[in-house]
Amino acid sequence: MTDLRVVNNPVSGAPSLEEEVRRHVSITTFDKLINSLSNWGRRSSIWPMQFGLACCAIEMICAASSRYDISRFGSELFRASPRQADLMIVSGTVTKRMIPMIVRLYNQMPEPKYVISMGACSTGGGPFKEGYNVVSGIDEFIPVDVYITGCPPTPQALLAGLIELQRKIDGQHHKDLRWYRDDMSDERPIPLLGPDLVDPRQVPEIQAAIAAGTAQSERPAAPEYFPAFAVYEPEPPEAEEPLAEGEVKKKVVKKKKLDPPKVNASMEKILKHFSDIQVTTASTLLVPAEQLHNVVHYLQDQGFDYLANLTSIDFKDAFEVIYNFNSTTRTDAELPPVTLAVRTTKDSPVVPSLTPFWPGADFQEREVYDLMGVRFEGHPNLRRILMWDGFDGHPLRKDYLEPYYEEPIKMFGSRWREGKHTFAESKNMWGRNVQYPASWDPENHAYQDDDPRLAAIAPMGDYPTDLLEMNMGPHHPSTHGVFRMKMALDGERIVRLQPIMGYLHRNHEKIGERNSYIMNIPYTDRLDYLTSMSNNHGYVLAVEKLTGMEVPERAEYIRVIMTELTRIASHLWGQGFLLNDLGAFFTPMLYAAQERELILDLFEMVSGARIMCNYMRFGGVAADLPEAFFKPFYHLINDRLPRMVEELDRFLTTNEIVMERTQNLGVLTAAEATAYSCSGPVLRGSGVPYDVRKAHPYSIYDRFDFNVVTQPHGDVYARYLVRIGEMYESLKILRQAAKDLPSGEIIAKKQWNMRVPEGQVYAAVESPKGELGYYVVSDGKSNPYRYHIRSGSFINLTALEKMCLGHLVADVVVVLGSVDIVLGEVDR
Amino acid sequence: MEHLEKIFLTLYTMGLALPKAILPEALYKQLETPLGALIGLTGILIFAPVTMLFLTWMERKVVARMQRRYGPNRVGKFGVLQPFADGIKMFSKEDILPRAVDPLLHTLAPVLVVVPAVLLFTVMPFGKEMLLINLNVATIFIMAISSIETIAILMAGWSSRNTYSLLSALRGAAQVVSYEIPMGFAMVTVIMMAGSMSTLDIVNAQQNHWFIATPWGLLGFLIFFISGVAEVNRAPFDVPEAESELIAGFHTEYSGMKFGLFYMAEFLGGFAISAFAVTFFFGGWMGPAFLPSWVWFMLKTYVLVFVLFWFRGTLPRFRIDHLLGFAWKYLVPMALLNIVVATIWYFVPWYIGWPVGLALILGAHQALTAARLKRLYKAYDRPRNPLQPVVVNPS
Amino acid sequence: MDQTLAWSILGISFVLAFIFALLPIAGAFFFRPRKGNLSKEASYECGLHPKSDPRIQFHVQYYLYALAFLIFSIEILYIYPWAVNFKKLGSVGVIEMFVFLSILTVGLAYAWKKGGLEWS
Repeated sequence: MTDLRVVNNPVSGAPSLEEEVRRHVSITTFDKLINSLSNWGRRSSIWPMQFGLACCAIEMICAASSRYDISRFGSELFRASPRQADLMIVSGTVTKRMIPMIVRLYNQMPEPKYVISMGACSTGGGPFKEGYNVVSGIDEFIPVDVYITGCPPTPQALLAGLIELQRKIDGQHHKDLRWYRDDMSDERPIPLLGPDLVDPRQVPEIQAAIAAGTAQSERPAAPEYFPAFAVYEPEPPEAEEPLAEGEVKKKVVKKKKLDPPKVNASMEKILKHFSDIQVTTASTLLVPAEQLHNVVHYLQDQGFDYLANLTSIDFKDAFEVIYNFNSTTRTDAELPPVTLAVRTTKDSPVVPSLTPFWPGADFQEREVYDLMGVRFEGHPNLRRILMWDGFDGHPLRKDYLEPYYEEPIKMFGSRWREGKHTFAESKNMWGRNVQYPASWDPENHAYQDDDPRLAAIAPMGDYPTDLLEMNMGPHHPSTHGVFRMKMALDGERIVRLQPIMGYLHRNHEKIGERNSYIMNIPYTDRLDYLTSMSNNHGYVLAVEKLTGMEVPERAEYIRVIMTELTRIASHLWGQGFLLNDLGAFFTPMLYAAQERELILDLFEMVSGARIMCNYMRFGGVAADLPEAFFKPFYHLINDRLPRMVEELDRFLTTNEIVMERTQNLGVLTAAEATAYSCSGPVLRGSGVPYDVRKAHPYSIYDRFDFNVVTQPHGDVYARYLVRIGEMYESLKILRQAAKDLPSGEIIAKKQWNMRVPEGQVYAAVESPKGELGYYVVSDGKSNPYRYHIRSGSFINLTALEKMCLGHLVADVVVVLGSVDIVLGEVDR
Repeated sequence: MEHLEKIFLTLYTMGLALPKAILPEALYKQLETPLGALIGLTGILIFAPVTMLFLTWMERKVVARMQRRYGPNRVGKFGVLQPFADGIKMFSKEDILPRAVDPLLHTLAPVLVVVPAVLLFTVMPFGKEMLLINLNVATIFIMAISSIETIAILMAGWSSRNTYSLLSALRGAAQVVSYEIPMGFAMVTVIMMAGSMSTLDIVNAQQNHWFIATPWGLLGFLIFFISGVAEVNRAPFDVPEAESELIAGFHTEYSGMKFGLFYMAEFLGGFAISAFAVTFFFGGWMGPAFLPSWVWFMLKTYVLVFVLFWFRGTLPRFRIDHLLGFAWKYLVPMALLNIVVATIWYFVPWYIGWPVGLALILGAHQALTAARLKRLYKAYDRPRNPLQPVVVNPS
Repeated sequence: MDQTLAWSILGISFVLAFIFALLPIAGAFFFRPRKGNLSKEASYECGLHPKSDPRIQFHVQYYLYALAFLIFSIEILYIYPWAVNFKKLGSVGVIEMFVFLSILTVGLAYAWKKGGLEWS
């Protein structure tokens, strides 16, 4: 008898009977056929939802560009509506504020649905996992099919994840599928935003705890405070001997004598004019709160028309609100910048609002109120901006300690595996360790995010009709991330627009205060995740200014080359997306992305990473340019980029639809743009020739011949033209820098954990999105005492409502596109 | 090609063979035409989804090539099986009926959007002797049927009870009704010259020269085609489903197969518009005899379909007010003028008709657009490339 | 082709087209999962909990275009019969139609002048 199990006849090598039968008769059952057919359909037609959270979303978009081309797998149809999507790619940091939306979107997707957790953040919180607004892992909330590693994962990694998902679908059998079984539901509980993130299933438990008075657990003691900078009193001349750098550190530790504050000409003038103003040892002018408006009046008369930065510090005995003033019309030599500080008590911190003078103070004051709890008298709409209403506490206060608080400074003990395997962050959400205020009532909890002013508008016109309330975002194809605009529409015309942000608030500043100085550099990459080189540059400039570090010539040139390449890459991306917002079906964007890829190649060569470069160091850069860098670099700046930018210019600039839709739209006059503290192309598009590279030259920008591109009209088209012009100017700088690139050292001194002398500093760079400033306060330790980022994107948004009122719904996305925001920088 | 035509014929006769065998001859003689029509109708009902599947694949491939990508290529050669995969997936996709919606209208809307798209195929002359119904008022029928789509869009948007859907439905309705006017006027000239509203007669009237080869035909075609693109909500007139503003427009709340039907209607509509533009202005199935008539028809139609995809791949979207302004302030006056041009063309010889017609058209175009163009090109100081291409490597 | 026959075939086509459009939905009925729940069946509003009802008294602008459409659509129906007989009617018909068209043009110009075609 023939044994059917024998595969091959060992003698003749002929196939066995079973093999023979298989070859000629296709044995299958109807069941198998249906199964394999439906699996094949699902695996070959995975339509992802158009849903990006943070940095990973950029790489997700790149996966659709020509170099990676996700469309080969049939997955290029990114659907904006969850109803038509099969796959949710959770691409980026998941914040507590965003998680209810994500879970709701997941619930609203039709079965069968799949989830890819893209990147470190969505998988486990990533670098931001210790943040008070970040959840450590999406898989606690929705079921994940495939995890992709990386921060961010490259587009190839996303494609690999997609293939892995296909493999998973291949193995499905319809009898065990969740969606054909009655005992499995796909509904996930939607978390509540209470004092912190609350699990709805825990509400009875929490109620019982509140009733029993055990809802407040014990909190660890607050970290050490820094006593505020002392008011400078001139000492006898013998104390003012010059000190070498090594001695400064010693001196700071001993807290004895300090360098005299650097009082510049404008400060002298103010000091002369007002008798009750004092100078602190950190070179700020200490203004009494009741004098603030008078001083600001005086400053405006002097020509200070630009409120560059507004932030606050939590000192031991006082909150200090810091104002940095500049002039857009006069040079540094004529009118040196001024820093004002206003101190207020810790019990009831109140400071007069600057919104009557500068509407641009609006969002910044709200941010201070939100994160520090300082109230601004006279502010028209003082509400939380980055956290949600109802959140318990003001997180940037030194005594705000998260439920999972570990230590004041990194490295945290739990990161060292010395028998301690519980990571504190895993207690982050769904926490039973959240502090519930006794007044909180989970039953009648209503999470209010809306501007009460929105309801107060009456319809206008001859035939008044109802106003339509419309939301754009946080999940929306054209809000460039998780940004929300709440609008009241009369027909399609906008009568009120309220920007709502904070959905990507990753607690950058709080984390920054616990990091050592050098550990913050990779975090700056993730601010504006399209321009990591510029972000690095601003931060190292600030610290270098504080330490007085010298930077070698070659490193300065390399920095300029990198930041200008970044500017081109960012503008290419921004212009591409502006066209996308105008409704061009991805074509201009993908052409721009293709050129951007070539620039990213250069970044990868020098730093090893495509978009998170982490390249600059205090006193230099991390690595020298490799030999292979030069050929593609020269090709790019001399030949390819000028050609391609001109091509973009030629095809888009005089396209009639583009012109018709962008001209006279979102107009901001020069005076308005300055008053709103706009910066970057938004400010220059309104005809104000203010470019940090020229106004306050940093690095070696004073050596290059380039123009500040301005356009007088202040509309979307003008901003577009400014960006096109800036790309040409950047190429001009790049050519000069490439020609003059000297040889030599690339870093002054390798530092690992350095101490920075006591003091405060504000240093700004012209990032592609606008003025990117870093305000750093040092208390002489190895980590910054206060670390604030003046973000161009965030402040430019202050003018958004002004720009959009009276235009149509379709215009809002275009105006937003022309402001060119990146949510990582807006929400930080 | 000959083979294919024979296969069609064989199928047709085979379909008729059964009733011929079983029915009495007198009855069969009476029923031959309607039975033949039924077989043709079945053919159309097979042709329509096949066309749709092919068009989805074609669009993805064409747009991909325009964006320097490959497009789908994992399932089947060149990814041709992609539409089938999409179809299978949609069949097994959950169909969500949100609680806020009006269930009846919500279900009816996608059906109603496909019906007119299919019905348009019945009066479409695919080739010589390949017209299902020779309707004497075919042009009016086309206009009437295609405006059913407005109602379907309104139904979808209204029943969804979603902000985006509703706004999109209102936009869609305003847009479709506005573009119906220039489209109707553009067809007037064709009817004048053909002396009939039947699609068959219109094609036959182009025996000697296609209508596109006249000044009024040229303008008429442009107006017809542009309005047609707007009628089927395709780029750059896709304001109702403007993805960058209104999520997915009127079909935001649709999932599964119902969404698939909207998808289908969009592509069938695009095909129908191209096919009728070919019928009215490009001589329909007319063409040199070395290819069968239906091949000529398909070739011409697919060229126009390609133009549709080309639009989608390259143009930004209009804004709703510009879009309606374009219809009422440019296309309608030009279409009215076109009737005058056609009348002149009829009464004068061609060597006078061409220059006079062109002069009238260009003059009117100038008058209608000059002010706008002047405004657009006003004093913006556009950046010039200040860089000369450098070949020398500085190293 | 006999027009009565044509219309009856058209009627059959309509029914068949309707069935044709219903078929995929009916087919999907057998394969699709049914997993309704409260959260899934809430209206989509960018991931937020839907609050406002969009069914409001809407802006008049959309209806103005509908009115203009109504007028012109009817005019087109008047023009079509003339167009069919254009060659037979000769110059008299042309003059008559041109009078009609010029009235129409004046109407359009009036609506234009009055701002009825503006989006406000």
